[in-house]
Amino acid sequence: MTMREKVAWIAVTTSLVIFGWYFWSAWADFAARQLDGDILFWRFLWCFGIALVIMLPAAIIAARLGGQVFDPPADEMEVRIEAISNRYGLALLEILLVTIVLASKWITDIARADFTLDPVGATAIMLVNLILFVTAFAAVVREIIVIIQYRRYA
Amino acid sequence: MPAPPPISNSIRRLRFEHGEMTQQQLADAIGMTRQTVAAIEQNKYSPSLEAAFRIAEVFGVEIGAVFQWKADEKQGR
Repeated sequence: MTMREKVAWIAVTTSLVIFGWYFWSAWADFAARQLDGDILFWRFLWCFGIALVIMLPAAIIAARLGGQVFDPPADEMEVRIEAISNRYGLALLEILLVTIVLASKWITDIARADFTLDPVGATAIMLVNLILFVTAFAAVVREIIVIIQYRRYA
Repeated sequence: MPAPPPISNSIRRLRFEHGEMTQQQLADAIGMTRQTVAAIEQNKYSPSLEAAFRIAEVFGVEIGAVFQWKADEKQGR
């Protein structure tokens, strides 16, 4: 397995666990109509930090165990794999961002109806978390496409 | 992944004839990963013209001795 594929596996696994938990918790707060921007902000930063703390050493350990270079220059097949994955990941991100823009009216209506104390703040929190979610989702899909391509060439 | 082009190669035989060269040794010689060499050898990935010339250079043969166009499949298209 190439170092880049190992990194993709580490990124997918870590992101699904850490950010999966974060977005699940954000959804639970939304479902309970108890959105708190400060709490979500710090929770996200913690998750981001924990993900970094896990991913970086895991990649270094994987490189050491496999006797590989940590960040080797990509060869032409790896460049091609990256390019295809980036293309699909970017297209997905664009579609999801446009979807959020189109759904913003519906989000504002929910905020006005269910978060009467601070509908503007709730709208901002929901939009920011939706943007974070689609960004993370597109990144995970991109890494999964990387893994699929490596497996097909193996 | 697009269907592989109608190109066959003799890399496995050439490696064998060159002191049973490993895929890793060939990969190191042409600046690629072993996985990429394996994909080329199994005809799952078509290398660039530059990479094809590099492979031929390692074995000291013409590029046509490494990669062959499958003419019969071409005519069938």
